[in-house]
Amino acid sequence: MSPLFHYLTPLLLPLFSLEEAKLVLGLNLQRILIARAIESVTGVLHMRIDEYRNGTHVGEENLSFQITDGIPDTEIVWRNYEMRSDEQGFLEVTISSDDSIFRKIDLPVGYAAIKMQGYGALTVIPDAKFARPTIIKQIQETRTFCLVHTACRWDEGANYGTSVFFVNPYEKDIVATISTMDKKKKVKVASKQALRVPLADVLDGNKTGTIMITGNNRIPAWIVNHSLGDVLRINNVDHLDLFRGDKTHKYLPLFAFVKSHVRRNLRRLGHVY
Amino acid sequence: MTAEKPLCFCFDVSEADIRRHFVEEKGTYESLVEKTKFGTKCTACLLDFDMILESIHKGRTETIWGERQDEVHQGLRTTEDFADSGFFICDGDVSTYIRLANFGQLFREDSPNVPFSYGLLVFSESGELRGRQKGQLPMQTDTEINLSDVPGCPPRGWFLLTLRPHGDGLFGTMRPQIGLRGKNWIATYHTQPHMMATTEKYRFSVTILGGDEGLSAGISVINAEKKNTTVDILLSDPNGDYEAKAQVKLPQLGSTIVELDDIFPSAPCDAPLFLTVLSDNPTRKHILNRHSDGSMSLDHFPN
Repeated sequence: MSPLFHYLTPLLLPLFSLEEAKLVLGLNLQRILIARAIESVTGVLHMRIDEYRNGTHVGEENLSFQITDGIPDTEIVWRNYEMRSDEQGFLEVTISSDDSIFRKIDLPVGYAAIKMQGYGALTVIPDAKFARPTIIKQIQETRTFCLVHTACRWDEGANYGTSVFFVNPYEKDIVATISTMDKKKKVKVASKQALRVPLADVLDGNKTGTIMITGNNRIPAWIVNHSLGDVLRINNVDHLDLFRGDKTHKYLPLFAFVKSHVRRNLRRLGHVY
Repeated sequence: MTAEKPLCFCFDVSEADIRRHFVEEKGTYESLVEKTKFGTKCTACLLDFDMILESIHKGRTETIWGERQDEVHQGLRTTEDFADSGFFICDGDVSTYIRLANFGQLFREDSPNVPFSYGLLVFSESGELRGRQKGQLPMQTDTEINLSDVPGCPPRGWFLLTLRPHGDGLFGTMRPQIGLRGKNWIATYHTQPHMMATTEKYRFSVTILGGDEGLSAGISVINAEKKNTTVDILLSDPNGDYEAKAQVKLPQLGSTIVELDDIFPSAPCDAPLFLTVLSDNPTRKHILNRHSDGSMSLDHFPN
């Protein structure tokens, strides 16, 4: 029997430097229970939200929810967090239970949303503090932590660029290296700090490029696309991918092998997609 | 706790300690934490801990940093089937491009990469196959496919991109990245496997935040099958004060970008709303948020 856990991996969300903006977090407890808890569970679910701004722990909220027969007393937990131009930081959301009720500790959740007054909204996906399956696979295969984004660009003529937003939720400082084919840049992200790093000096101007990031520890990061004239104006936040440890081949039982090849050939002939 | 090299430096717990705890002492994670405080300070060791636990569950006895055991292969060998999809706009000031990069880890040439070939199919919103392109991606190269350069590409629609590895290696940096470029902005999203198209339960809902000018958001829906489908779009306020539903019909292999202000003109814009998309055939869905300067934010629906 697989082990059960009493906690889920903490979620991390960026708090960017923005003007008149807020991050809206909506956590659907019912969906979390369906995805990760044992069936028809009864007990208490605890949620702790820690708020870090400019390296300081500025807020802690502790919530508890009663679960009866798999149904929580609150379906969705909504919270708003103001974003200010002179602050950057992150939120850490930890979900746990008095009893071991979770089948897995990684947590598939929806996006948070950011609303900038008079400008518009965007979506942002949380990162996990630890136990991301894709990172585990990467380390198993390559033994090196490496984040990748293949579509970064710094275009002064068109007035837009890409930056990386790092968050260090751990107790020790992290030195991260941002690499392109021919350039490197090292940055130090202190414990509990967030840091936005423009890619102007590692990207070739007006050309889309690939960056890879490694460090002396894993480090959560997001890709931010923004105006160059107004760096407080972010139009898109993307997650980074990983250098994938997935193999290009696999071994299948006979039936699955035949099914896979029939599907490929039908796709080639235009019968299914 | 031991003279062996620690795995958890904060509390001096080694891999051998963990193996002893789980294998010989039949301990649990909770009892390990209670006894040693393992992994509770900086948490940097928890990734290695996951690997050790997996190794213990598989009955392996050598350390995770020892020589890796030869994998036992059962069944017939085949290459992975990589077929991703996404939406595009090549209309007015907005263009869409697909980025493919095949670099070694940290750009090293000795990384276990393999060459790939790709095949691109471009569909119109009405579901017609309008364009095709094939190409090669040798190791240590990247390429940018501008969809408007693909002969027959319509202004809007969706694409299916298949990737074929030539040899045994790792997928590495090959996950496609899609960029939408406007006059003064750029936005990117990752493709997802076309097989992740769903009807409900997964990847079917997202939070919407309205603004002064309305919801200013759209959703792209791709009908993944060769059957017509009906798409139900539900918008609700978490307090239950507002609930509305709209329906869109999509032809086989068709797609659409639905502007939420068009279908929900009276939706409240001062509170978060929950958008749910259900369909009777599997569909792939993306969210587009529009901004006052004409730029966009993009994402596939969340997992």
